[in-house]
Amino acid sequence: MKDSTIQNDGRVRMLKHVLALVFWLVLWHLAAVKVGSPIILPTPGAAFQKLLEMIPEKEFQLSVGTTMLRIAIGITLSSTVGIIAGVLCGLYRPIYEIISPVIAIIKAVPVISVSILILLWLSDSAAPVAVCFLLCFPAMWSNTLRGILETDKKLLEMAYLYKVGKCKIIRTIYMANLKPYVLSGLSISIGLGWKSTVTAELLSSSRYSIGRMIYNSKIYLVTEELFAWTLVVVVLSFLMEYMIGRIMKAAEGMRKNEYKA
Amino acid sequence: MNIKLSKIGKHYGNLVLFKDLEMEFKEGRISVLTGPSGCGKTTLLNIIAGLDREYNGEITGTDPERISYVFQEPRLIESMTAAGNIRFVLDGKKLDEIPEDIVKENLRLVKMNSFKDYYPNELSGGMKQRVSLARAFAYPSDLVLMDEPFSGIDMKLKDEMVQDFLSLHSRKKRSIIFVTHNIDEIVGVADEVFVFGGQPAHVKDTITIERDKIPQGLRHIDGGNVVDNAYLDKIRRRIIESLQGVERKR
Repeated sequence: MKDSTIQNDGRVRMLKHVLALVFWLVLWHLAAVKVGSPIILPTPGAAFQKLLEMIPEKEFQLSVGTTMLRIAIGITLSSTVGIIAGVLCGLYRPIYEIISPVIAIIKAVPVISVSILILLWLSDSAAPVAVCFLLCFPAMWSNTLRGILETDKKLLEMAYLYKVGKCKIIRTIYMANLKPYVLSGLSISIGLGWKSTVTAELLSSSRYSIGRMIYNSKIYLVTEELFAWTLVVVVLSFLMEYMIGRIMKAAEGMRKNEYKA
Repeated sequence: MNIKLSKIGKHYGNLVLFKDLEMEFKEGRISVLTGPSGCGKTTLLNIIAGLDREYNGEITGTDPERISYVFQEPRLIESMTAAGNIRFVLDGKKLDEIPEDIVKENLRLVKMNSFKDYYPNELSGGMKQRVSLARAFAYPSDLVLMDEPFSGIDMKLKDEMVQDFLSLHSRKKRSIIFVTHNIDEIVGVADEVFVFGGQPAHVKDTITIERDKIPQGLRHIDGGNVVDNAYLDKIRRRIIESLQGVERKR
């Protein structure tokens, strides 16, 4: 009984999502018909058709694969460094004092000027990864830092009183508290990562990249293709976030079992 | 060794909490600290525990490595089971027995053995506080500090927990400093009562309860009603009068 209610709830929610999507697609279609020029605004049908045509192409697969690889590297790097730096800054005040101004500067510098600068320094294939790193790192860092600083002081006091080792306090009390903060940092990073990587690819015109393909479709005024690529980015970005959520959940389950013993 | 506090001074800004406070707690006994709220009882526990280091004066007779604390809240780690929470404070310590046995024994004494694999969010408030009690006694300590550990727990359960506490205490005679306002708890557990009050706070009255004058079985509170006993009645009246005296002067 209860299961079926939950299932029904899920279905109702799904239906709401689909209806919302249909609403916006219809609106897009009507706007496209009204504009009447596929170069300025193609219809959703045309964009989807273009997408279906593109998928079997080898260049499409290579571009999507390479871009995803770059983003995966960028996000892995930025979250690893961001989490380590965030933990250290949260635990040791002097490290925070040294690192925080650097991060404030990274946050304030416009994406475009960093991107161009990095393009001058690095190869066109590595530059998008570096840009992705620079954008995602501060997000991961500040989320992790908040997680550490907002750890329950009362639990820390308890662990201190019972003379529990610092390493163990970090592994158990801090890490357990960190999960939602890291998850939200990752969610922000994935969104930022896709946008920044594709933009940097476009600027550097990296070989086999979504950015370059978007640039091409703009040059040749194939607007349906531009829309099709945009759809690809949106869908893949969602998919990546969903998958990371699942992985974190699985990891959480494993951790719990470890303590059950 | 008795625990001696000498010339303890503590202030928050302009508020002087303690000035030249002198106290002595007897080894292996249950000392109860009572008095109006806000008079610094918790602060004093934190100073003795070494959690609060901003004070003047000297404390002798304590080993900072060997102090347990039952806080007002259970303070359990959510990602660990009841047994895991106790193991958490035992790992890496010098112990007389195998850690598993210590965990088992202490959980048994607070009647939580069948819940050893439960996570804190699967336990009631009273059960969590029992785990916290078991943790304090499982830890190799000479001194157990208790800060209103049974407040917010209903009468019947409280009586059970007081008994759990006393059976834990009778097994290993550790020094206990127990903070509470509750007269039944005081009469139920104390060997010595310190009535605290004034500003700066100091000991207004010290009452020794001679446990051997109370017949066996009357030591505990019976379902919230202390059983009739002339000696206990006298003690109760004396504590109540002392507390009222302190309250009136505020």
